[in-house]
Amino acid sequence: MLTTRRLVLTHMWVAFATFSVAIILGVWQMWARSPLRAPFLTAENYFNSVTMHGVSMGYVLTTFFIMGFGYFVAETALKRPLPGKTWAWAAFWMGILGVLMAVLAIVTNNATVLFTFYPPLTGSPWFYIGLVLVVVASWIWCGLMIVAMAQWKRANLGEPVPLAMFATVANAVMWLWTTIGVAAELLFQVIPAAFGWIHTVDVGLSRTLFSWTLHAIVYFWLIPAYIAFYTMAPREAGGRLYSDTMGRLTFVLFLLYSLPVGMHHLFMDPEHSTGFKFVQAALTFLVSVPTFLTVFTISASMELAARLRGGTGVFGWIKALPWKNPMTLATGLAFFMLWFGGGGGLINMSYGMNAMIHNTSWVTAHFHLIFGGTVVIMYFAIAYSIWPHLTGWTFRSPGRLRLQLWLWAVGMMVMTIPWHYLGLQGQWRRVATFDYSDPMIAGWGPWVIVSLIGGLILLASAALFIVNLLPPHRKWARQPGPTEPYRYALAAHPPRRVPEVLNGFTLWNLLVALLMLAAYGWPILQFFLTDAPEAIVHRIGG
Amino acid sequence: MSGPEGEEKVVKSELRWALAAGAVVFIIFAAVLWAAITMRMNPPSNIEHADPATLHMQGEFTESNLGTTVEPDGRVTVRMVATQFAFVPNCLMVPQGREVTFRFVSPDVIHGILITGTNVNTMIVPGYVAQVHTVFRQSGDMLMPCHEFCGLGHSEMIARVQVVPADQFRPGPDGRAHCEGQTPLVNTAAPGVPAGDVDAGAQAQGPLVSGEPSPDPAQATQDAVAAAQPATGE
Repeated sequence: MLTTRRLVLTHMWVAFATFSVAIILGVWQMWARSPLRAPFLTAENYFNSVTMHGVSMGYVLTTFFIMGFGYFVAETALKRPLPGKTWAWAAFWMGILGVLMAVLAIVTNNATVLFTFYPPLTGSPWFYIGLVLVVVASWIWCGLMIVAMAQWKRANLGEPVPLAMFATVANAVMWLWTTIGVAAELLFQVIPAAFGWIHTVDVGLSRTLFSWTLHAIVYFWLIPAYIAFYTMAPREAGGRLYSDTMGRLTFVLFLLYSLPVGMHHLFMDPEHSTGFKFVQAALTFLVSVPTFLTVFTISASMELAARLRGGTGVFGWIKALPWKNPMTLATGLAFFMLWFGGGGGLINMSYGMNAMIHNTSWVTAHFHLIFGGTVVIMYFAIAYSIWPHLTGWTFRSPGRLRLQLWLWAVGMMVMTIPWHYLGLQGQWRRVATFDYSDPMIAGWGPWVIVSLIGGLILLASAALFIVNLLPPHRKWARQPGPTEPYRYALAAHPPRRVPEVLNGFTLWNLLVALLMLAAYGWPILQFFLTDAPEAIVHRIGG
Repeated sequence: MSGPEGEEKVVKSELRWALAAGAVVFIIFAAVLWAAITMRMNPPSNIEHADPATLHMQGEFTESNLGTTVEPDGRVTVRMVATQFAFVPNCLMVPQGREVTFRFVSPDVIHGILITGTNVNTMIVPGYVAQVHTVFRQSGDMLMPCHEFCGLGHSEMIARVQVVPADQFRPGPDGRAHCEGQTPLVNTAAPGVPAGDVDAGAQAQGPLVSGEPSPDPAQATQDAVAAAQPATGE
């Protein structure tokens, strides 16, 4: 039995409980924006809801899931106990304290600033300090992951680090780099402003620091999904990973190119030159390469599995895959949604073209497809895959797991296709209500109602997800689960040795530093050299 | 060994795919570069400062200078203040088929605008002038909402843009053009009248540096909508 069992389960339940609340808020927000009359609708309730939905999904669900999953991988992939379990629990409680502080600030109307909290609009300092505590907790997790891998390498000199752990540590290293931007913004600008210690703030600088974090954070959320693609799905489908080396290369490329690209969120901002916007646009194009590589490697792995099961033909093998297996199904659905989400992303990052859709519902559709359609659906699949090992009992009716995944994918598509369309029509995001009596807006109504239906399907899926995870704790559904250790996918050609650069991160850290210096050096330095006028801090709440 | 292929074949196929994927990405990128150079498809990036604390008191963005102006050399410039929770002015008239330059500032928090049915889009960041050049290809009424959360009145922060055919765009002798039915910010005042003395109209409040929300932003917007109504269907 796993020694980290309780630790992992506790993290997962915090993540999924938060997710359940956040999804109800999300559905209500769609209701508010539709022509139908939503209850409780005031501007304050709406924007508090958006703040809570974003914080819950983006910061709490993800961070706690990733930490819990990381502990699971460290123990099962390295096949040794997790070092520093006391630290892990300390980090957990620190994170919980932070979440409680942030939630309390939001529900008392003192942090109606949305999860992007752009100054000079500032809420209660306790909201930001709460978020900082969550980040610090995740830094402790990063340290534990790095130490676990280092200890394993010392005990297994020259051996390739198992891919699942290599990828987890790549994510930890990337996250440490990623959080520098938002940490600097919070500690030196936003929190002093929220306490009233400073009265003006350099908004250009704060937006630039936030953009440092804003793109790479999505890869922090996404990498567990990719870990599942590479190290879980091929085995669950009955095959092997096509190429272990390509997996390592992919995770290294994510580490390199997730970071120096954040300025594509600032294309429409007046404080940066076209030159640096263009440089970061070019780097953003490079970050699509590891995703293209993944699509190929995982499709090839699935083809291996299907042919082993007797599949034939150029595309006929797809039928032979074990679609009844939740992980295989989730991988297929995630790839499907990744095409739409990624395709939308290609438009967003296309420099001049971004003007057509910036801050419209198109963007909301894009990141819900990436987040919900690729990240969260794989979180579901991971939970289904590791739950028997955590609880000791297996799922009695796997049909319900598949139903839940299908509902999620259908709901996500029904919700986001109208958003894409409305975004192209110019429907802007982040407002509580539309004036449907306006003839220019009236035509949007039916589309918004369709997306609300999509949201309701997602809500049904989320409820079923929670129900699915509960039975293993309940007596009536108990069946003895697997007693053998969790197995990850083997590579078609298991590596006996890998080059040292693909077994550690020293070189890559150096390259990240150089890339960040090139991409963000001057854009940040300019705020200190040119004396841009500062904005007056606007505090909300009490 | 479970797959039908040897390790070398695996590496070769991966590299082939990487080249193909790289080529696709490169072609898209080349198209973006082409559009940037030949069609001037660049994002707004003029890095021009404007002090949020003083912009309403002196210089380009004083109240009397806001709205649509035809400059002596014939260029059309629109100057606008985005403030919690209204645009000043809240309706604009611009000509179809001519280059129009929008210049936005904010005295308080971050705002942003788009104009529906066009690719006019920019963030309005306090401390900077956000500038966008565009040519309107179609006439008619369009919405110009605030698209970045700026506070509780954000949802009601919407302006109108009336695009009129070039021959119907008739600025006054002072070079200013106003929406039909809209109380002009400046009542065709004779040149030389100090800006501060001019009646600014009912809902066209000056930018509020304190950030206090207007007493009833929803009401202000409804006034704007009503004011713009006669122009609908043009």
